[in-house]
Amino acid sequence: MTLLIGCLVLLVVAVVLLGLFQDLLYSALGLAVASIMLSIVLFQFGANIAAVFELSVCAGLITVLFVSTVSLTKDSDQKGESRLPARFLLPMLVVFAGVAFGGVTWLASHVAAAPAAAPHTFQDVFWGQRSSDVLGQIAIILAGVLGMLAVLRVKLQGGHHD
Amino acid sequence: MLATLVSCLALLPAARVTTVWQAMGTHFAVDGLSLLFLVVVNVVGLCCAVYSIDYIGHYGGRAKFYSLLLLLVMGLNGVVLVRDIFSLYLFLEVASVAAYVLVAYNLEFDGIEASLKYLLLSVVATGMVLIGIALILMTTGTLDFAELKVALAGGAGANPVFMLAAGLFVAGFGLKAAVVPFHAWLPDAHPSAPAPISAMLSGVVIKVAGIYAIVRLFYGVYTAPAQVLRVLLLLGLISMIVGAVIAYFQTDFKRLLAYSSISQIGYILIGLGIGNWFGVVGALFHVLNHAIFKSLLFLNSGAVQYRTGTRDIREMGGLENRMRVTGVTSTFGTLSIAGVPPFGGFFSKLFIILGAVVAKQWTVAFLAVFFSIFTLGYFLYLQRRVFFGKLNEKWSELKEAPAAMSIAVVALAATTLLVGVFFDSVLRGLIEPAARVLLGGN
Amino acid sequence: MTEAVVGITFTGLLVFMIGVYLLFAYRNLLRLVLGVEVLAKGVTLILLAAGLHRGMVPLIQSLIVTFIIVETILAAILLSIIVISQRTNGSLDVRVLSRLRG
Repeated sequence: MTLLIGCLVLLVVAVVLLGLFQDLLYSALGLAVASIMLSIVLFQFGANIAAVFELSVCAGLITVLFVSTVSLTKDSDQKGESRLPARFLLPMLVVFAGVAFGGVTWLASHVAAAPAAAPHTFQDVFWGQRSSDVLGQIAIILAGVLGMLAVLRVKLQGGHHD
Repeated sequence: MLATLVSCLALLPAARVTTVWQAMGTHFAVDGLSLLFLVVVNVVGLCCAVYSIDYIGHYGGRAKFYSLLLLLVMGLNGVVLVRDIFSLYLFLEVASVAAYVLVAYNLEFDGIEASLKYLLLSVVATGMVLIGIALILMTTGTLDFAELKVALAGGAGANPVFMLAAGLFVAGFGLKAAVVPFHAWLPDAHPSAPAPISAMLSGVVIKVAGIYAIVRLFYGVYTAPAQVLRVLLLLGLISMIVGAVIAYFQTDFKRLLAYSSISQIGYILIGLGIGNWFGVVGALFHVLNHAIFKSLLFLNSGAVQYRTGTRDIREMGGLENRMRVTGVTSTFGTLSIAGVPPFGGFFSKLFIILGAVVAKQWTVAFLAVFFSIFTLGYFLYLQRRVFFGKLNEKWSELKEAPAAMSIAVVALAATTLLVGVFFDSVLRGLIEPAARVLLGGN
Repeated sequence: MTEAVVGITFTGLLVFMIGVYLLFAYRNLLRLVLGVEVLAKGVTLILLAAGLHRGMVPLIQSLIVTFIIVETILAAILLSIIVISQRTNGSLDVRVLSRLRG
């Protein structure tokens, strides 16, 4: 329980800090820390495979992609990005926490206790019951790869009608 | 050669519709409602694929374009075939990822900005949908449509958590359908995309991603609670009025069409919100009609832009003298969208208005009639400025659009006329099975 | 609901709202990716809470794996559109991109 609370608190702190950092690289680190905390939470409840995915894909791959994009775009205008001054952040946080607390209390009073679910293994569920999701995942990965190729293609010169 | 090969591939989903009627395995299933949307997706998808053979030449990256178009069609087919709310979300995301890239396909300022706006608003929308899914899972422990319906009918439906989830779904899918308070992305994304993609987005994507999901959830799972229907009716009225009024002031050909899409989505929601037999049949029929005539009009606007290089309707005039096919097919589309008798659009609007009259919603009926006339007004104005009248001497050298583009628009124009002339058999073959899925029995 | 589920749902909602706030509060395009990612973390937590409450960890695990893939693809597409946007406009400022208005 202490570990869980610690992870959740650190997650929120990391998320708030990444919004405050001026330097995008620190923000990327904040995101990675948030992902690691989330993956520890997932691990604690026996969602091992999801935890590994979160750790390698979100904390690893997205951070790498993000940092390489930051260096690829080399933007000089990185200072003073906050549209709202930072002093609004605390009241915002208090409001958000209030809304979230109210929501959870309301939810807890309306959601009944659940009967025990039938035992399944992850393999059964993933490859058996939800095989249409696997098809969808393949499709979305294809769409993502082709999409990146299409967006980053060399533009045809001349003959434009737009 | 590559193009012909790829467009043959695009035929595959279109051909499958007529052959596979029964369930394909345990995870995909076809019923009347899915079938209607499958037909809509694949007819429009095929016409857009044919149209793109000539159109996409000047953008480059033909193979990538066709692959993404096929993935878009696949995602939409997946959305209408799945029987599980999380899979619906997943296939929606497949179609959306393809759509984000295709909107930015010209790699120019407008397209890129529109694509970013579309992506960011969609992320918030799908986030809300996922929270709704989590709430439903938390209360019932299942995601399957049929099991959910049983769980909701068995007393769990009184739980206010479901109403919260319903609100999240209305907001999330409403944004995908570009219903008025959530419409900000559509007038940017639809005009900036290449014309066949505008046709796909306006004709099909907003209907499958928005209307189909709303219909499947609120009629198929929630069995049409009165509060939700009232919200849908209200959103529909606002969309119809705001879309039509803003469209009236547009000078950009494709932007006008985009706002009119918002207005026509309003009609569909009104039909669904009324919720009686006439209203639902009219709404579903309007889904079919709007998909066909709006993609026709978008493809024609693309043909005009392809030849003239502009979208500003003030610069055009008398184009019919030079682009006969485009002019005549546009007239078909205009008459259908305005609800003139022999065309499909007349019958669907008639059914929606009849539904309002039967439900004794006199204000709704009056507004629907009034804005139908208003639509006729601004589309006739568009038609007169672009195609009729004296030829603007600037365009005296203009040629007709290339062959593949003409074939696609002629096919769509013929479909809109045929749907109107044979509306009885279309109604019996396609629309009524779908309505029976929603309303059960009768 | 157990205490753990309550805590996870609370954190999830809070993180989701912070993500939405980040999406609309900044004007550097790259910050938007952070907003999207933070929002996705919140959604993952809420999904986990739902699964824990029903005792359906394998099911929710497979949903989370799917969602992680979707979120990564979205981030990659968003990043590549941002790269091309910066090449076209020479800036990462959101305000440059306000020529089209609703």
